[in-house]
Amino acid sequence: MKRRLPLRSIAVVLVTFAVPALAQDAGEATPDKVAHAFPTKPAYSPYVDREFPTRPLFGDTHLHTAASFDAGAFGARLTPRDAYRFARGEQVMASSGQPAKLSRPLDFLVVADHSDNMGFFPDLFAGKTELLADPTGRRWYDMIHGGKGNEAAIEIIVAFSQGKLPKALIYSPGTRPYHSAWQETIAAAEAYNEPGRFTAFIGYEWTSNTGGNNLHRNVIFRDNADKASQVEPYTTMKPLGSDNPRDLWKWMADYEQKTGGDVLAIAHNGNLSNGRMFPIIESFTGKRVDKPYVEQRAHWERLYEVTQTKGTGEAHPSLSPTDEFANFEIWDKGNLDGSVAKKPEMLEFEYARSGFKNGLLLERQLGTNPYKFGLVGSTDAHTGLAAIEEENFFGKTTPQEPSPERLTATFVNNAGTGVKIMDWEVGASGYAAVWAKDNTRTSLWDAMERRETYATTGTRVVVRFFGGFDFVAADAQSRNPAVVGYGKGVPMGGDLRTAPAGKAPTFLVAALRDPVGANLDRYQVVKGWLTKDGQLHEKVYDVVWSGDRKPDPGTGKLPSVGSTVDVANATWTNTIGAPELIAVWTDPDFDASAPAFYYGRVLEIPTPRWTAYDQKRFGVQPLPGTRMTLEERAYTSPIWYTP
Amino acid sequence: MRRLLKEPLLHFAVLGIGLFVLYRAVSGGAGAAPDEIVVDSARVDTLATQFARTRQRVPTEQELQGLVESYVRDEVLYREGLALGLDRDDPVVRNRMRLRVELLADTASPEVSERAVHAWFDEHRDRYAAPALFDFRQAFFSPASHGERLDADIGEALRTLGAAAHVDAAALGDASLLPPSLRGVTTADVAAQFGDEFAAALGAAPTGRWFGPVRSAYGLHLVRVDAREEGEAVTLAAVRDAVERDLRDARARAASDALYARLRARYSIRIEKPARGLEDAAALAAQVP
Repeated sequence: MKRRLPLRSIAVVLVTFAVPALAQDAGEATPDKVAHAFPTKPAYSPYVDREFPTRPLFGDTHLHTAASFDAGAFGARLTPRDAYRFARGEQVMASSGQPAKLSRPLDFLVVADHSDNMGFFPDLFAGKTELLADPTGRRWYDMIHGGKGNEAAIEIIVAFSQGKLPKALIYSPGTRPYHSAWQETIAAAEAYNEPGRFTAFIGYEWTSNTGGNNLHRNVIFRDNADKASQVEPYTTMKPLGSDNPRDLWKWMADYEQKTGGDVLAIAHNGNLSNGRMFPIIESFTGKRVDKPYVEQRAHWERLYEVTQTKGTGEAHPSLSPTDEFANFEIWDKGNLDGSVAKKPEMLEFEYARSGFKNGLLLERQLGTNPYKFGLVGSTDAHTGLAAIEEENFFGKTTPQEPSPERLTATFVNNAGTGVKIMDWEVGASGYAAVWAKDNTRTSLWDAMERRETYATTGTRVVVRFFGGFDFVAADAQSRNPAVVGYGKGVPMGGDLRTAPAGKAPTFLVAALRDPVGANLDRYQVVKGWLTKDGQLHEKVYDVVWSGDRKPDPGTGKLPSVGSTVDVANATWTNTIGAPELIAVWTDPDFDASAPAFYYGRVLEIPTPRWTAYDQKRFGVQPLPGTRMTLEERAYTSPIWYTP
Repeated sequence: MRRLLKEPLLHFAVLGIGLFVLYRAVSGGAGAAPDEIVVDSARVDTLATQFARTRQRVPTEQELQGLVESYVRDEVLYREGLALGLDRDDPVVRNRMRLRVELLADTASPEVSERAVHAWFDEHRDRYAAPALFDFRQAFFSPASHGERLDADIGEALRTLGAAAHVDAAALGDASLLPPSLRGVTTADVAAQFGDEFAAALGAAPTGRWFGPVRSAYGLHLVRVDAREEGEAVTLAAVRDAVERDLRDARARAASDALYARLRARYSIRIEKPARGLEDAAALAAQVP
């Protein structure tokens, strides 16, 4: 037995062909390229290592610590080092003074603190003289230490959102305190990065938030300290920074040029962008997006964070009225700070599914699909704790760490616009699942770049999704769908081009429940397509489900799986649903001339929401209307068909 | 005069003088002699140096006199403030003090010595050891599909596997997405896919023969460990960074906890029940917008 990195675990049954190392180039995964990476001609030795990922690696690409100015103001005291220790499975003391530990370690973590004012908060908290000399700084300092950290946090965030932060309080690149905050971020990642065991990425969040409209992106480095420390993060405040994503892309290009390194950006919370996340008309110019925009966006933004604590953004019930599962953890009252209420016409440019659809249209017009992104989930927790299991939820901010109050407290309340969001609406979501071979920065980053990822709302369900033109029903009998999946098709995030005459795309779909989680209800495929007349369409197909349920002959809808949840006791049983689902599905409505995308959506049976656990453990009555159960789910990156 | 009596500042002053008198009485009165301020030559030097650092020149005689006078004024008011107990109810001062005391613990933890690194490594060797790697096969038996025949079916499969060398074991069990075999995996990898119980059983399993049933998160399994490679003996040199990192972390936390424990032990602490009860307080807090 040859010793390898522990995660290079290789399935050996069904060794009918050998597969050499997966190509490291992170370009489009077309059938040609996959065939090259996984040749079907058998090697002489049947025991040659097969080198595809055998289990998904779970992590969080978006976690804040006390180094983020708002997190610190909310009371977070944990540092990036604490955050990495916690993600690795160690027990830490949460900022609220209670011990915290994950049920299982994560495989990787990106500490993504806000680049604007990075390191400002720890200095304000410690009472650095320069900051206290400013009257506003002094007032915030007094509020924080006078037990009004919450109010201070909201003031700081609003001042930042509205560009009204006093000059003396701005920590910007090029200054000594900023430099040391960034170097400490890098040093923490370096200290806890252990290839093969746990990956600690270097990263930051670029927080474009003009007018409270969320255009945030997390920037993740493939590289180590030697390259990342040659630069300082890009910020949004002028003159050094900019709130326009085009300027961030330029910064990314400059970084790669200067260091020979690699970075990618993951946007999030389109639901709080008020119509600006997936634009057809750019908010910065009021003009239609042009060729440079679509090309650069497609190049730099290959993933989107579709689910997190501030809501899930796959689909919206009013955009997808026939999708009975679209109404999931929706936040659609306004923008990030509640300063502008939502209007219905904004929604189309905020949700992933409508983004995928408009991407097809823009590709027809401009030659490039700007919204060809894969999906991940992450926490966006501002606590240093990537703890978003329903029964182990440490909230989005420090005041939302477990307490009897959080079931009834208010999170955002903008009297001017009437936008009010309660703490119970915060979701315990999500994680990023990455099909990487090895648990290393480069292997994980490359899998992200080729979009071989899926989003979960916190569960660690295992999801496979392969597309090709040659899958047949017998392939679903395989005990190892990866072998036939990589052999005959492309994985999630890949491309199908030019359908052979008379053939429709076929998909090998498979899901295995979280070893400590709930059974599965169903595996669906969501399809979107663009017809010749310029019309966009979408449809959700139930592909494989638990039990012997039959779709209603009239509506075509599959009956509900039911529920075993006992809300009062916050329990459920795996007596319904299935531990695994596998099938081959052929698109029944295929039009070879219509560009399309397909992605998988896997639903678990209903389980108690974090609110149910809180009600049980704290003995507190929830407010009327509080959601107490949920169907945890996974969304795969799409596979695109391009004629 | 009436108006003057209503003046809050006057109330404050009277209260202050009262407190001051009380403080002097409680703290031992004249015998404590707290009313001498000595500005020693070291202090004067420091004041002059601070001046020089900001102004880039030495202070004149007059300026130095001003600095000293200002220092004395600081000291007088500071002492009076302390005497009045103004520090006690000021959250800013309290937090600043707390931070400074906690910093004492940090600076009290020195650089880690070579000996300490070795001792830590010896004590926590397991944590840094390369984990054992397994090659194994498994056949899955779903309780749902076997029902009452489950034990009998597993027993029969185990006999079949024991009797013949070349049997497709997985085919004896139920179809499953769980990998029928894995090579070169750690127990942590196995736990991520099969659950903790199965991974623990694998760690204790014999090599080279089928055994079971072993319970996983999904059902029962027959398992055969084909090979087990113990992690190579780990050397300090190979994992030194991680050892030093963890030692420093542990030292810093231990120092801070120990300092607090030591300081807390000096106090006898009595905690009284809140007069109104916690629920009343929570209800009151909830009314505040």
